[in-house]
Amino acid sequence: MTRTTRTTRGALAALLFAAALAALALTGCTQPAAPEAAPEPAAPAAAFPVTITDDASRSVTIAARPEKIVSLAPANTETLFAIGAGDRVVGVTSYDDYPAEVADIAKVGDFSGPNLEAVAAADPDVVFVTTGVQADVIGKLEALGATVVAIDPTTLDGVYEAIGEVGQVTGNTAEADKLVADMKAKADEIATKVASAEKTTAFIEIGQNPLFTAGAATLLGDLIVRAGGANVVAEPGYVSYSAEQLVKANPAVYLATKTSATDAATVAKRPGYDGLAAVKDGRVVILEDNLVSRPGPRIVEGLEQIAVGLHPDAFGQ
Amino acid sequence: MDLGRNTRAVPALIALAVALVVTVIAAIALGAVRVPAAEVVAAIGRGLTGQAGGMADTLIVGIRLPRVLLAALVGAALAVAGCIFQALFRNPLADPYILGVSSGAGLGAVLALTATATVTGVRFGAVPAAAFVGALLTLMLVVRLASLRGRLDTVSLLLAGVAVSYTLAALTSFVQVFAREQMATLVFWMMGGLGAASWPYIAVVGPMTAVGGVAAIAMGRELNLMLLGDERAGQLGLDVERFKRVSLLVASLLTAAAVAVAGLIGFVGLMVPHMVRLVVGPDHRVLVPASMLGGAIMLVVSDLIARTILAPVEIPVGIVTAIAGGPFFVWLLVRGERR
Repeated sequence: MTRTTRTTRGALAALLFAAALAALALTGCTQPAAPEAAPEPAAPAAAFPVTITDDASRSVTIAARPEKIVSLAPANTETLFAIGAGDRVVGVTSYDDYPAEVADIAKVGDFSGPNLEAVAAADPDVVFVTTGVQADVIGKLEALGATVVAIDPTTLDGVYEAIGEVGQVTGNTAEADKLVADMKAKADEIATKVASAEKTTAFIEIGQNPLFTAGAATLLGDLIVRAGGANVVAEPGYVSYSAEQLVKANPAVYLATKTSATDAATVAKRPGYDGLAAVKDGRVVILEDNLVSRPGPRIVEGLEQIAVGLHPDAFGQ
Repeated sequence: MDLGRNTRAVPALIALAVALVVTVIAAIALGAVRVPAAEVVAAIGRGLTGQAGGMADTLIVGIRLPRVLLAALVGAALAVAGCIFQALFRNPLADPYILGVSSGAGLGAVLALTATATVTGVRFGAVPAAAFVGALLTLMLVVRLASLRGRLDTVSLLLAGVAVSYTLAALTSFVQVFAREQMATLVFWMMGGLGAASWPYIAVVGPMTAVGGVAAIAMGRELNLMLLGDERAGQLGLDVERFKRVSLLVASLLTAAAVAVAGLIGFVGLMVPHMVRLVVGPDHRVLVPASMLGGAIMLVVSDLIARTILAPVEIPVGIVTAIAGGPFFVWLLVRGERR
């Protein structure tokens, strides 16, 4: 009960701090008047208005080609840049770190969600959000006059679709189609390499203390299957998992994201892990979080990391 | 003290001890993975003789056994600490975290998480160590602040504890803003849990709980006197100042040990002493050992539920202690009223 009070205090402190940050953002980086939108060379024949159904099952109509875009998820930002709409992005979150150009774009949100004042200051035509924690703010963002599109794929096919949607919304459909085609080619190439290999049992750690993993119906779970693996976790979603069950399932490969486990040696030292086949055989694979967990264009690189981890032979390693 | 109640003390203590043994055996036998009883015994046997090797051995000796024992130790430590704090402050709402232990440990943990995020290897041991140091430093600061005006009185202690606690909690939130990648770890650390249990932890918490527990049991008579108030206790021959320092040290060590390995597990330290008091009465010579046993039982059972009810998915143990413990406490209260 004392703890509840303290947590509330903590949240309050965080809120106050966020407010202070917003004040800084507003005074510190005054928005220059939006430059006249230069007509894009070889403008794709995207017809506006377009209507799409987003990942929050909302039907969204985009009246005209958006000139100012805010992205509230790093994956969306990566997609926007990859399909040539990066020059129209006027706001991102402080999580965004790719491509390098995002460093110069105004930050309009952080871990506590979008800062509505900062988003308003960016005056976007379209805001790309993710679902889950951001589901609550969709209405608030719409009240600012922006069209809101939720993107939250949980499979690789879903990522392709999402990129197609981002293409439609921005009018860069041709580039989006090309990007998806390239990604599919890469994924197919990986699929071919691992096709003949036997399925490798795998476990993926995304958090420790408690041990957290991705089961079925998650993007990571889908990537494991596509990389020629069999996830030992059948439970759906992201769950806190029993170490006992892990020992019993005894996966051949132990995958772990970098933010959860710094390196393979650390993982091997965990209590009870010395009996794991993956540890004994030196098959603990550390994955780059941003590649395997962002449902954007680089997800196929994440897929490759997992595939190489599961089937090093197939990749000549 | 009240002899009528004390006649119930010995049977109650024996019953609790038997219940603890039964609970521990059940908790070792049951888990996310079904292991036949004979295999459990054999695995423990191989573990004792240093021949462990197979899957069942890793599972029982490497994971389940240390977890059950750690649950018992942490539960016992928290309940005894709660007992001492409640008597010292003559406040039924005092818990092991009352003097800012939680905030101090929290700040230590966040700093360790932030500092070791990119440092290889050290993180596993750094977080509990930092939490422990944070908890102890906070307590030392609080006690020092409270005794600035000479006497170490209860109100000053509480006020100093609250002030330091809020300040540290705010600092923790501030650091969190910059360490958001560690947020999830921290949130779960705050919820508390025994998932990290291992033999090295037992080697640390075991002796601390044993020493603290024995010391607390030996302080039973003095704790009874403290209930009468500082002045009256002094008149009856107790060196109140000295006793406060010693008992605070004991309770703090117990709390810090528990926090370091299991995070912040709520409810046990606050409620177990009350539950036990309803059964064995207010005499600390009985209450302290009974709380020790009761706390161990409660956390072992709660953790058993936490790791099996949705197996192989685990839920935070703090949820179980509160959901199961709250109604149980109400039942004890109602039963007591009716009598």
